[in-house]
Amino acid sequence: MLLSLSGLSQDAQVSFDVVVGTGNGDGGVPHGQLLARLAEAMWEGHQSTLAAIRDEVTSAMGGDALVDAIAVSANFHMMTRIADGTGTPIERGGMDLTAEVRAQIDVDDMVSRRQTDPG
Amino acid sequence: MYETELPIRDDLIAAQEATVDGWSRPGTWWTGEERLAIVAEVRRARDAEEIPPPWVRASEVEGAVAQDHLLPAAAIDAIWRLTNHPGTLTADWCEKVLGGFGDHSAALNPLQYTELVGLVAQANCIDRFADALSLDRPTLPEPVQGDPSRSVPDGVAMRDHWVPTVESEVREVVKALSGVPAEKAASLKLAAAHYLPVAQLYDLTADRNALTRMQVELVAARTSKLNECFY
Repeated sequence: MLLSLSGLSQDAQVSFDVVVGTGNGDGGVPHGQLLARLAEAMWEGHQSTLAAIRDEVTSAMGGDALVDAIAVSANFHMMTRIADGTGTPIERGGMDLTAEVRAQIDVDDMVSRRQTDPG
Repeated sequence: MYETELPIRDDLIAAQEATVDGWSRPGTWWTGEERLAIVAEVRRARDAEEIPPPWVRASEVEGAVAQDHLLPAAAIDAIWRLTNHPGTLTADWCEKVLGGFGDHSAALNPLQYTELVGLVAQANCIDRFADALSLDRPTLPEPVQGDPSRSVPDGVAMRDHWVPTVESEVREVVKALSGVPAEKAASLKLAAAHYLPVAQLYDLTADRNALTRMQVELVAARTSKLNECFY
């Protein structure tokens, strides 16, 4: 997540409010708020909420985008478990690169961050 | 695999089918029957009416886990914690799992635990995909008989992770499962269809199917944040 976000942060139009969950806008990404709400509904797992957001995404972006967005979110339910379950550290060379992003999304306060080699 | 009119890409279905088939085959440290039991336990952990808090071991909750379970109690506890509270894991917890929480008969070999992490992660990926689209989860196949290979790759050693790894990868998360190459390969194949092949990770301009790369990364980042994963 961090290295990709670091790359995206080079685009001045992208903000991380939508990633943190504190913003109401799209964060500079087309349909950003809608996609963030889809990820939140998947994480919470309430079927009625999911059904409503699926309809919204399909209407706004199409069925292909709905499936792809759900596939991506599902993938990060996998990758987070691999990273957290194995105590995966951030790449040593990536610490400086991601410092600003880490500060913006409060990563260093996460349990998973405190329990791994600080790099 | 799925009875639906949703436009699910063929490569995505093929990757999921291969993963499910792999669950049923003897792995490196677990038999096919045990690997399927791990996936089935992920489903029980997710579907439990009352999910224990992270500091309570599922195996100690009355009625939560079958007494005659095929898997050691420490493995079951790890499955529940990895599935329901991934952002709360600590090095100390991992050490306790590997030590069987003091029960030496339930202790796990670190590479056996690595394979378990890979399976739990894959099951969470595929089942959450199906659940989010209101599809039936894939039916688990019959186990393929045979012994685990118990093969250990050259150069595997404890480094910066909590588990032994091979010093051959650039990305730490790719290295995470390198102590069990078959499980690493299976997870990367699934990730390539769901997200991106490893070779494209650094190409931040490439769009991905119906989404732009920025949209992909936003979904990835929001999901990681919700799971409290810093990586």
